[in-house]
Amino acid sequence: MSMISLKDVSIDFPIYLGSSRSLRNTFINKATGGRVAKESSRVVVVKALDNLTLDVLPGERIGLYGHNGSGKTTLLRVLAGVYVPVVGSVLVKGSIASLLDIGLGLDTEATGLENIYMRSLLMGVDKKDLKGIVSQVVEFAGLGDYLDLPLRTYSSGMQMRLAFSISTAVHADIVLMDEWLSVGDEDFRQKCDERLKEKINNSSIFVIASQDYGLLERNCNRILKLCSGKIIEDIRL
Amino acid sequence: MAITSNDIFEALQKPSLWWHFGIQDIKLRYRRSIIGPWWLTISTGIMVASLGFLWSKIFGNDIASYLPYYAIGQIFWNWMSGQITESCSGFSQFEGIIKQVKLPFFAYILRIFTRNTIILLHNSVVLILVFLYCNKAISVLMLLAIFNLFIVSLSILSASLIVAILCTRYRDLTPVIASILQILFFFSPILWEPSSLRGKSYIAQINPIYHWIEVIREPLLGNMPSALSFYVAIGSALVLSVVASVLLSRFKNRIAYWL
Repeated sequence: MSMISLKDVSIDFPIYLGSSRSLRNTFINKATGGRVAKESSRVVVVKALDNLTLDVLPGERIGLYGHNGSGKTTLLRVLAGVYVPVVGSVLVKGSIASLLDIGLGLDTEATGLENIYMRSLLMGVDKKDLKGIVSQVVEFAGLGDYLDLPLRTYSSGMQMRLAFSISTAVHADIVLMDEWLSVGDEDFRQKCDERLKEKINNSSIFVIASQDYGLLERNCNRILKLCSGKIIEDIRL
Repeated sequence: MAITSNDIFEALQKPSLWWHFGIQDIKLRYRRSIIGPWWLTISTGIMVASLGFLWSKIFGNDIASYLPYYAIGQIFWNWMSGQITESCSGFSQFEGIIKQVKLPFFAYILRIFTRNTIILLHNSVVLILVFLYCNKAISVLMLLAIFNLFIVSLSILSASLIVAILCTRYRDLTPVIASILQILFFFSPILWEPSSLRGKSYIAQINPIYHWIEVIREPLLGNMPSALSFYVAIGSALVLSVVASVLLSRFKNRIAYWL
């Protein structure tokens, strides 16, 4: 049974601007009891999530809506387990597919096939399931003989097709997505849409962040409006 | 401490996360050259042969006894310093992965370790050639060198983890470590033998790197390493792994924020 439960979660990003990131200043600070390098000890802190409480049950399709910097991506990263909050508690049950930036982690020097292998391993695919996943990705991407060539020979559209095909190949209980993924030419876009919908249907919980309210209305059954790290509206459709 | 052991055990349980990737990294690095990683063997071979010749003349040593001594020291030093240098960016070079999926941090260190150990294996060909050239006898003690290599690996892995955590937090530590390594190379008995220090052998003795190299080099040369070197190798492995565990459990959850 998959579920998400966040309780009073706050995420603060310390912004280390040169001076406070430097060892010398920290050292001087320690050695002088903080008198000399007074300014540098004042680390700028950005509050990305502010005392956020959220419970998600199986079957919920959550849309995160809010303007830039409202904390959507940070919230997704907290759910992915990347950021562990200093304050509050996070409980996420179920396997996670994190489609936050599908292009990341691709190696342009490696061939398409090698990239499929590497990404699948990073996404936690077992060695024994690898073959099945790979053939499925190969078929979906439809890149044919290009898969044996290094990624740098691909057009950017083809790179994204491959990235999309890999990231969406693995089944997971919880699917996290930053903006609706849609890549390639018109035909492929249609395939993408179908595949995403299928993936969402097969998942237990789906969370997507987007600026497109219409899209969220079409695909979600619960929309959370975020503003400066707080949920200001919880709409059930 | 519990968090640390989780991270480390999780990493060890998933060798596909570092073993496969370490090999892939080396493959990619040399993808477009024909003889690939063997370039490393060739350049190490040329360096060891020419510098070995030069230094044996400077020190007035017999080349047949000096060359194996120098070659072993140099090749294992390259392995250690390469590992530490790469670990400075041990987390920042994988920022894309760390910010997207939760994987054990130790796996990144092991990935770098796999790379450097593959390079070490390529370089060991040079050692074999040097041994053949100098007519060095094969002895059972060489097995001890392999065992000691594991002990030293523990120290190196722990040091890598420490360096990776600190360098992610304090970015200007990277050049500091690079220059420390440069100085350590000359202060460690790689080019020179501790006996040439004459009564001042403490300069070598207080340096753990001397002992790490010694427990590998002496058995390869057919001698028993001194008990002191052996104890220092084990002791430093223990101390460093405790420090690494403490740092990891304290800062594991902060690493993603620092990137």
